[in-house]
Amino acid sequence: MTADGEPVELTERIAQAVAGVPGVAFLRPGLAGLLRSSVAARATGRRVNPEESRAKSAVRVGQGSAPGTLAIEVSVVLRRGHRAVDVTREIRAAVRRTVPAEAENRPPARVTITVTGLV
Amino acid sequence: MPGHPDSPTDAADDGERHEDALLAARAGEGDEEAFEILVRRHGPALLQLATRLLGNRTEAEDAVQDAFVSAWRKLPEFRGESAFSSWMYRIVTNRCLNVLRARRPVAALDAVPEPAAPEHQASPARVAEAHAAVEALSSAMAVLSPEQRVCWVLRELNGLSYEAVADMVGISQEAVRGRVFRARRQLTEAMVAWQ
Amino acid sequence: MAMNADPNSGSTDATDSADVPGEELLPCGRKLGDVWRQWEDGLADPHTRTCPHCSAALHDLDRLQDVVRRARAEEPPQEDTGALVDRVMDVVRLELRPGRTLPLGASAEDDWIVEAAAAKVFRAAADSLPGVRTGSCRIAPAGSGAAAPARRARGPVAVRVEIVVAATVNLQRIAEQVREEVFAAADGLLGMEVGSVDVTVTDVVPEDDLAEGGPR
Repeated sequence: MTADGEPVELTERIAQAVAGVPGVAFLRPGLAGLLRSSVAARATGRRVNPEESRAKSAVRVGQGSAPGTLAIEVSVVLRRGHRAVDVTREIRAAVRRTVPAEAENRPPARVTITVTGLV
Repeated sequence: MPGHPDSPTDAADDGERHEDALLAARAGEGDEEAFEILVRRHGPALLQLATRLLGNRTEAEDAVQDAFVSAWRKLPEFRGESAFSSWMYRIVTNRCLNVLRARRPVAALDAVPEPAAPEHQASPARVAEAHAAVEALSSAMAVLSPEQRVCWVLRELNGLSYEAVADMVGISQEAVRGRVFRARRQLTEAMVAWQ
Repeated sequence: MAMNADPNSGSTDATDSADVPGEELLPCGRKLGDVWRQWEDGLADPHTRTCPHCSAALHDLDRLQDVVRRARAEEPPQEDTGALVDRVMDVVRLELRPGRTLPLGASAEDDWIVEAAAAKVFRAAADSLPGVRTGSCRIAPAGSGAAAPARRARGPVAVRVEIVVAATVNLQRIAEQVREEVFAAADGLLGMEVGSVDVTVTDVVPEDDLAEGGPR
């Protein structure tokens, strides 16, 4: 959160943007993400807010195949009653709107969206 | 809901079996909502079975929870040769058998607790007496070996046929009859001692 | 061996081979196990009806069975299983099986959906037809054939649905109707390109055996 004015991590900004898209129920990572967060929680010996860590690990930002590009992967659970592909297209647009502010002068990021569930 | 929980193999309503088979196929393909329906549908009967087998509600809940989780993991290989309810009965029975075997042996007949004195003196004597007998029965069950207890409970409290018990426990019908006989023998012995 | 066989012999029931039931002899020479078994199997026997030893043995068993009946009647029902369901499902949701990752949208896009989620939509679509209940629904990426599918292949998917139908359903038409429902759901609810829908009727059952509306 931005309450203390600190710059927010890119993945967190993307997660917030995605969560705001109509039709998105919540962000959900694959199993790897869940394991990572539970291992991290055990390693640091403190309780991690499960919702927060789940949302963050549902967004992965890496290097794209072309130099200087970003590859962004987002995993989401959608609400029934919304056409899935319409929501994923909205998510992509929301991600693109978020990224330029953080990564100016770069070619457009590759954005991969995976629907991991419907509720 | 149709189908008596006591007899999964005999009395399960045809419609419910069809529905269970469909839900199990869905759950095997990762439909956790289908699995939740199965858990809701069969949880009460399985919890009753486990409570009878273990004589302890908390342990029974753990056993049934473990059984369902293990069923979720095994469902992709579940081919529906038997009804889902029979399959679950088998998993719960095996889990409870392991729990019973892991308990420290309570040893011989002279360890049978005396029947508790009727606590409700105000209630009619016959009711109190009947209640005391039931209490005494559950205490007496503690002396049964895990194998005897499982066969006896499935046969007497759940009303399964010897054939069904044999199928569930994975031993011959004659072996089931032998275990039920020995269980009855010990329980009648205990009851004579209460007189 | 007399009436009091070693009372502990029964509790050392570790192996089946040690399990020789009913060897215990009553004073009249009958085996206790045989007497009880006859009673259980409902077989009449003139001897046991008149023999005091057999009668006594049967009386003991009768008393036990009477207490057993009362125990069954007294037992409280185990209906409050809500907490158990929640605990089970909490674990299950940490061990979901999403299946394959399948393409969503047009070929050039980079949107995907897991098989388990798409299958739920297709099953519900088929279930909406009266007299149809859906079991298995598998979805394969385009051109995957028998070989292991390439990870994340684009292109229209192949759907295989298994249904149970009510006897009242027109078997000639039902497969086509299911196909139409699945195509419509793929386009209207998901935005997924479906190349083929194979429908297998696995069972025909009395109409009453199909739950109204199904689980979802």
